[in-house]
Amino acid sequence: MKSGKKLLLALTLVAAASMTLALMSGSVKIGWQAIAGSGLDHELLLHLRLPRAVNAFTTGALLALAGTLMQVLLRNPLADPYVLGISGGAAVAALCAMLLGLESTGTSIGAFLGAMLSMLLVFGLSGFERYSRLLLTGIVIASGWGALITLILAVAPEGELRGMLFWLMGNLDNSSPPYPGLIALILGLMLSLPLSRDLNILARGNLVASSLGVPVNRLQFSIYLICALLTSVAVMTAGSIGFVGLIVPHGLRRLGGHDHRILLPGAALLGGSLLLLADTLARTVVAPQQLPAGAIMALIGVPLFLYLLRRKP
Amino acid sequence: MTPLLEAHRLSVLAGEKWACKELNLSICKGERWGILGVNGIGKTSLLHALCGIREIQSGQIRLKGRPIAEMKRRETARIAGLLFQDSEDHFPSTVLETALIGRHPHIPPWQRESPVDEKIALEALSAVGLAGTEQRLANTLSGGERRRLALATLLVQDPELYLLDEPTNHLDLRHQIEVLDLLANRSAEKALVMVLHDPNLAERYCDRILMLLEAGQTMQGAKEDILNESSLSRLYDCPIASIQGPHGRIFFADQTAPASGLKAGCL
Repeated sequence: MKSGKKLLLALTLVAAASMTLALMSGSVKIGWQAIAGSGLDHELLLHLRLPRAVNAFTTGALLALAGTLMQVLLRNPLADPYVLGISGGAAVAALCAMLLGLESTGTSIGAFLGAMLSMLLVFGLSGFERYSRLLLTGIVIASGWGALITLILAVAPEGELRGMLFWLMGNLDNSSPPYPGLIALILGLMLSLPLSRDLNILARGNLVASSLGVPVNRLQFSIYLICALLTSVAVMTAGSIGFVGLIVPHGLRRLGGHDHRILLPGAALLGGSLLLLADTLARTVVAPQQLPAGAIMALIGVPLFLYLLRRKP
Repeated sequence: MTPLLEAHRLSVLAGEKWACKELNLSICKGERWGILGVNGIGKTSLLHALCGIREIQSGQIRLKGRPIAEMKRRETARIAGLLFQDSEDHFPSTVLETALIGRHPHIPPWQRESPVDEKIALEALSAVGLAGTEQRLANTLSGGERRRLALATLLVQDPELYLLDEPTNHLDLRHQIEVLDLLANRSAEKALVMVLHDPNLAERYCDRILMLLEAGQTMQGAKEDILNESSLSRLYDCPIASIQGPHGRIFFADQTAPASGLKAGCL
């Protein structure tokens, strides 16, 4: 129990450090005093860097939290927030919105609706009776979305193509407001943390959980809804950023986080920090050019995860 | 005294076959039941139905006089506990963490495990001979050790009715006896229901027997009345003889001739 608290404390420090770094980095040097000031620096810090940093952090946190929940729901360590076709549905809807010439707000709302639609579709077609069916239905629906994405890209006008590809790669550059992400994150933690002990048991299988007094159907349905909400908001904010939702829960388990009371908040902190760092790098390395945060995320994540895998638990 | 478990005209489907049809069963404190039947007949399905985690087709199950369908799952879990045939572990957890999940139905939803719960878990681990492995990852244990860990988890759950699905799976001869002795020693205050494949273990550890026959038929009664050459031969569709062993114990063995390749000297 004690080591779990230490892990959470360490992750909080990492998160604070990443946030500081993100706010201090950029093409213009800004000192701390700018927070209180009122000049251009102040504007830059509070109205450009802070919202973007918050978006990066919450998106990473939402995806890592959703990934942790999804892995327990499907009892499959290869599951990530997108495995049930959420990102595919979101992408198809967002690309359609772009084709229709909608601005970024319209695209975001489209992505949210597409994600929700995909979730409902998968759930309606499979239910929870057999979770292998849930997983397979999700994977098949995801492939269907993938095909639609390819078709849309093939017929999209030249001018739209770059924007679309950037959206698909995951992009924090669209200055969406930070509130949906923050609210979803707080709500997600508030709803999922009380389920932690049940989740610890559900991880051992439906029947075991049921025999130990866990109301399995209700729990699975709750997790599914929470996952849908978290992932939809993440996709709405930043497109489909991969990797973070798969790797963060694994990494934490390797670091000794087995208990969901530690894993859930830990995943939010670590996922948030990783994506925030990735985004800071993405916008500073070859500034003023911006790189897709999703790609940087994977570039940081791959060696980190390989290291964790080789490290003795 | 109200029986711990009553089944009234219970019918349970196992896949497409009936595990039991119109079964009446009454299990009281202190009794040790053995369930015997061929592979695939539905022993596991029946066991799962008895603790309410599998749908039944008709009839009623009562735990301590109350219909199981009206009870909360947590209440059910305090009365009836199940040892599964196999345990799944998809994610890492330590031996102690695994044993502690047995306390789940006893800890109110908003509380965490207390030092008392931990003490209960440590005692159970040492009772099954796993003391000293608390901090190891459960998936690094051997098959037999994991079996004993699952049993320790059930001891931690401390139900009144132990439903044991092949409790001796993966265990060597000594550990089979140790584990069943451990359970039998606790059975005065509890009731045991175990699915067994070895009629000799049923003969040694059970006082009542339920045989699942084909097409949902069943046969039950005191061990002395049920466990004999003719019933076992019919049950397993294979000639079985009884042999008098040490301490006046009776052993059952099949009477079929060894396969030709296995005659003495051939190995």
